[in-house]
Amino acid sequence: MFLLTDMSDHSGSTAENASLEADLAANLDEDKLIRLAREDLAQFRPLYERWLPPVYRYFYHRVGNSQDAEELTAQVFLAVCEKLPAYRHRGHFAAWLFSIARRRAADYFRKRDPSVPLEIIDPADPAPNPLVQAINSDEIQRLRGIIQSLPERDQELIRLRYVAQLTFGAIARLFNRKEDSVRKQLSRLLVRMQNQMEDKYEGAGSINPG
Amino acid sequence: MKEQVQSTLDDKISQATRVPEPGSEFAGRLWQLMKARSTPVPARERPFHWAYRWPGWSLAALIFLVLLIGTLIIGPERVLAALQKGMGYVRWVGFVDTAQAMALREPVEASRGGQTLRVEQLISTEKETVLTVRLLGFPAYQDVGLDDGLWLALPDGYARRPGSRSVEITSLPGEYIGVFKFHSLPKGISSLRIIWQPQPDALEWQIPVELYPLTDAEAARRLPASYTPEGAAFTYRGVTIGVDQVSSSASGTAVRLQISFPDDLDYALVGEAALSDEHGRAYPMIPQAHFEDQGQQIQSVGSGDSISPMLKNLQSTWEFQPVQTGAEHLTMTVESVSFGATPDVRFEVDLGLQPALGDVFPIDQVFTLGELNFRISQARLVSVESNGQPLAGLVLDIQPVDPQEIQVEQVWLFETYSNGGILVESDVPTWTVGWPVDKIPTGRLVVKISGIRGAIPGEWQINWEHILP
Repeated sequence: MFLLTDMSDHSGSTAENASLEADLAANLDEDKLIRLAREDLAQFRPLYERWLPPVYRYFYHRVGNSQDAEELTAQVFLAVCEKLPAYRHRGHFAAWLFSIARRRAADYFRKRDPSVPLEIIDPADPAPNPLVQAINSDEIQRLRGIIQSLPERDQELIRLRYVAQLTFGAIARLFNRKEDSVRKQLSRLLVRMQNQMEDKYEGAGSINPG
Repeated sequence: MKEQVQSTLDDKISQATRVPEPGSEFAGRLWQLMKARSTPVPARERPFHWAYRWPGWSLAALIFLVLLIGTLIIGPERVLAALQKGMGYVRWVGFVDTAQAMALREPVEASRGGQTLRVEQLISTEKETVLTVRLLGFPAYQDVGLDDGLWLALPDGYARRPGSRSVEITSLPGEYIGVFKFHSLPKGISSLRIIWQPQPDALEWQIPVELYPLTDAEAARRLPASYTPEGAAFTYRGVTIGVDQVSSSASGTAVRLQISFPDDLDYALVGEAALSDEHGRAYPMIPQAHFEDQGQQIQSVGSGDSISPMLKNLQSTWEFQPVQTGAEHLTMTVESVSFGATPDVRFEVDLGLQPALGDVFPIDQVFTLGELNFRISQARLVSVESNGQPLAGLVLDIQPVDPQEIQVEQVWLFETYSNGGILVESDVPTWTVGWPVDKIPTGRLVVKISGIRGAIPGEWQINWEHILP
């Protein structure tokens, strides 16, 4: 669950009201916001707040540290600023945004070693991250190993669906395929992963998959 | 059982792939940087929409009047013929009016270091000038700088910059297609240069071009002619999809759809369309061919006297594989139309004197958008969390009256008087209103649905008699 802004109380200071106004603006349709943002970037703020976390998470998952994730995220949103006047919105803003993100990621890995394991969490990141602690269970570690061993195409699907939390429709547009086809691909992938998990459990001999 | 297993695995994958969220300091810094770098489009560079400046009804009335007078003077068949004459299809651009047009006779290109800039077409009509360029041999899947830095250098020393542009990356690595639209050229201009400077310090590309009058014979030779099918329209759930232009050539079949929808909707878009003939032969879409959404822009005056541009009667152009010999009837099938609306639906929820998490508040209210009916069945107070802070969220359950007819993808709502915040649930993208748990309001609450987006599954089948080229 993603919160756009903090809750404000009923007394409502000016700053809070300003924040609320930004929130209410977020209720406008993406299409309308993009049309308006072409002339006034301030209109883009709700979309920025909506899409910054998925883009950042996508990059973080790919590069494994906050410094590069921030750099790449910034590149994407600055590119969006530049390209917005030429962008024809067809209700596929997410697909367009992530097409830029994926190109930036491709550029990044052309220059660097792409094999950054997922376990590496930047030591500069806040250390007592409960999320990191939460994923340290054996079962989750095994699942992460399985994900890392997947072909890049499947890893990307997992990343877009679970990390960036894109809809199937947006992923389908990114892959230039039909939505049903993407759903089936993920479904088959999950079955394969489930089987691999069970194989590993059997191999371990002592863990009940539940 | 299978669904349960998948759901469990879904949860585990979500955990296994979880990463930190961006920091608020970074988010604030980046936003400031974006604002600093943003340059509003100067008024003179905006595409001129005369329809934009006219109320929608007067535009429609003018078109009707012209057609009526034309019909009375020269008869309906000749009006149709006159409308069709001079329309040609240009890939990646769409249908253009070739009357009084100037164009290139052949593509012109320049190459250096294994990279090629090819001017596929430059066509200047009375309304606009459209340039199509193709880049070959450039680094694949990169921002090559085609979005900016391209202009027309006129012989009088003036530069003309594009009012709109779009850049497509094709499936061929290193290939890019750019379409640029400019104002129409001054009369008498036939020689000009196309200049592209990918980066401020990069060596610029220059291609001199010569434009020639596009005679009827030349237009027929260079651009696939188009026709307007009669009665090619289908209406379902208030959304009418019509075919208003078709061109057929050895390289493809282009079809322009006209989509009209009830005023309650902000837009209706065709997601996928399929073309077939009476022999059951299907013609796959050419993915990289041009498609567009253009609409008649009208001024919309909101309840608060705010004025915003809206699009109505959208056009969308698609290109398919060439129609085979023997096809006399074509069918365009559209299986789904996505829509968006910003209704002003308000209703009351009585939270009572002591609302608590888990409470359910029956509503059972139906509202209508065009021919689409939705039922608000109930509201619920649920526990949500943000940054570790427990919150109470008011979730609204909205379903189409007939779920087979509409799929709701997203709903925006907010209540009108309280300073509640707004949450979005990632799995079910429904907006809720929320408060700190100890500050849930009591009594009657007015809630407004401010936006709704969804899809209308159906089968629009548009049939017409195909006119062979």
